Amino acid sequence: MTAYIIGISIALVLFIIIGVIAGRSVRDTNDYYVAGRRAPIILIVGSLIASFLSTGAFLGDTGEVYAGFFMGIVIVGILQASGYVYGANLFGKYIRRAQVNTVPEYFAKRFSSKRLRILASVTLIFAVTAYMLSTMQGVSTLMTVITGLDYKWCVIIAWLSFTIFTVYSGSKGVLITDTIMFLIFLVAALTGIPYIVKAAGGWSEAINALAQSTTRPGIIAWTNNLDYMYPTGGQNLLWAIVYGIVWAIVVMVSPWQTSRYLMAKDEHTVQRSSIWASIGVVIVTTALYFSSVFIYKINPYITDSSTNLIWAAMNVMPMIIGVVLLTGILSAGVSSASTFLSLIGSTLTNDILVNKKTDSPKKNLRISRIGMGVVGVIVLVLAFFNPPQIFWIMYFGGTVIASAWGVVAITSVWSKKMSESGAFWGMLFGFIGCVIPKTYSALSGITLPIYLDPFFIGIVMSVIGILVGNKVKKVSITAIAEYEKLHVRPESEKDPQNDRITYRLMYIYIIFGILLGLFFVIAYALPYMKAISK
Amino acid sequence: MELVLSIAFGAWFIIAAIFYGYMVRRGEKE
Repeated sequence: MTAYIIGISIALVLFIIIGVIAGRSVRDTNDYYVAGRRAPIILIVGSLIASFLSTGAFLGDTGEVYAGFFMGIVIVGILQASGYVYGANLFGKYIRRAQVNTVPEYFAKRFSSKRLRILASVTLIFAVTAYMLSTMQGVSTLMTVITGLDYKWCVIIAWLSFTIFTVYSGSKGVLITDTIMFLIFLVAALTGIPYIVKAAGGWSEAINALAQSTTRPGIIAWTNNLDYMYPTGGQNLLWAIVYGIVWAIVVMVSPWQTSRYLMAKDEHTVQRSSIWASIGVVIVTTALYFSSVFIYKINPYITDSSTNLIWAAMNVMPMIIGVVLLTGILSAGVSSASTFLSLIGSTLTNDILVNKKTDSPKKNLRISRIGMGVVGVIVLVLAFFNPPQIFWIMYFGGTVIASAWGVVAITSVWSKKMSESGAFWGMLFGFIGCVIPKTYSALSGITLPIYLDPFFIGIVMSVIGILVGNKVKKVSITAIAEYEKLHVRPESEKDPQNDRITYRLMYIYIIFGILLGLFFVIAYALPYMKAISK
Repeated sequence: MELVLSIAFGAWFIIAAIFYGYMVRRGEKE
């Protein structure tokens, strides 16, 4: 136990030190909010993945796999990862081109609208706070399990581990620490697997046993275990496809993903990062999901399924690898929390307290840090006292932002006819359209059919809002001018050699697709089919 | 079905790759 505590403590202290050192070069709000817009591919990819994968993926998703929902979660993982490529090319590249500090500022600039800026900021703060609190809860629970410390103390330690450098260094610190944390959990996910496979009796033996499992029948079948969620394979498959699409849209437009593109050194970096981030997410999640299903083969008696990776780290792996895995899980949570805090703080100071800006870069930087600090303290109070109302905020999770922003974000780039009124009402309707049915569903205890998921109701409402808004108030000349400006490629981007390199990544992605398909056919489908034909 | 899904996983990324290539070429003409 001591080794685990020492390992994790060293990691947390290192994150703070590195994050604070990165902050010493922060000179103005441009550095603070968007890391000076000079970040290379490695930092963008690291931050994209680290912000996306949190304790939700490492503990939540792996828990569902362990509980019998392997293929369902794999399908969601595959579909969501492709969202990077669609998001970067349909939205990310263009918000980078708009040269803004935050995504709400992009909406405001695109439509010359103060009310849209406020609405985007409020929806962002609502959704990101929800997501952040659940991440903090995950990190604190993990720390409690590992250290045996009281939960409240773990909340404070977890909070300190990301708040100090986020408040001081802003995006510069977050980009660097995110990338380090991503590398840690990538190594953790990959190095743990061989020990898990070995303990499960080897790859073929594990697939064979799981295919014929009588304690959790169907755990690796396409139908999934029919006692877990829906009673038929078709319903489970539909659920997985629906949620895969929902999370792909989250990846495409959510502020904790797209804001990373604002920091990229050029548009080539945005596009290339999307390919590597997509590949990275698939590698990490696939490794995790196979690990968890194999852990079921090793020990099917873990009561709290979401702790299966923690159990494996402490009981299956050599101590040093176990320490790396636990540090990796913790890093995934801390890295997301730091991005979330920096997003909320940036939005508050850049978009809501916009009038507080002065002519002095130093003063502006100080105001931004104070704003971020205040947000940090509020988050600590919420997480520490965990009032019952917080459950409600957390319940909304990350999908609500995709419901509110999804259609508006993409059409803001691709529709010349989109007016300020269309964007505003589209965002508002999308938000309300998701929140109300979700609240109703939770209060009444009624589970809505898959096709009536609040996310999709929100999307439909958003489209209605856009259509009505565009009818009420036609597009202005300024909005058309902004649209046209968005589609003019900056001279600095025009470089045939760079174009060739960016284009060539398409072939790498195709090869990745072929290899992934082959991996699943050879390592999963064929041995599975052989096992069930016995 | 397990085999079909495995192949579909690969195909899904190939479709995304083609989209990426198209968008990169399109962007060069902006």
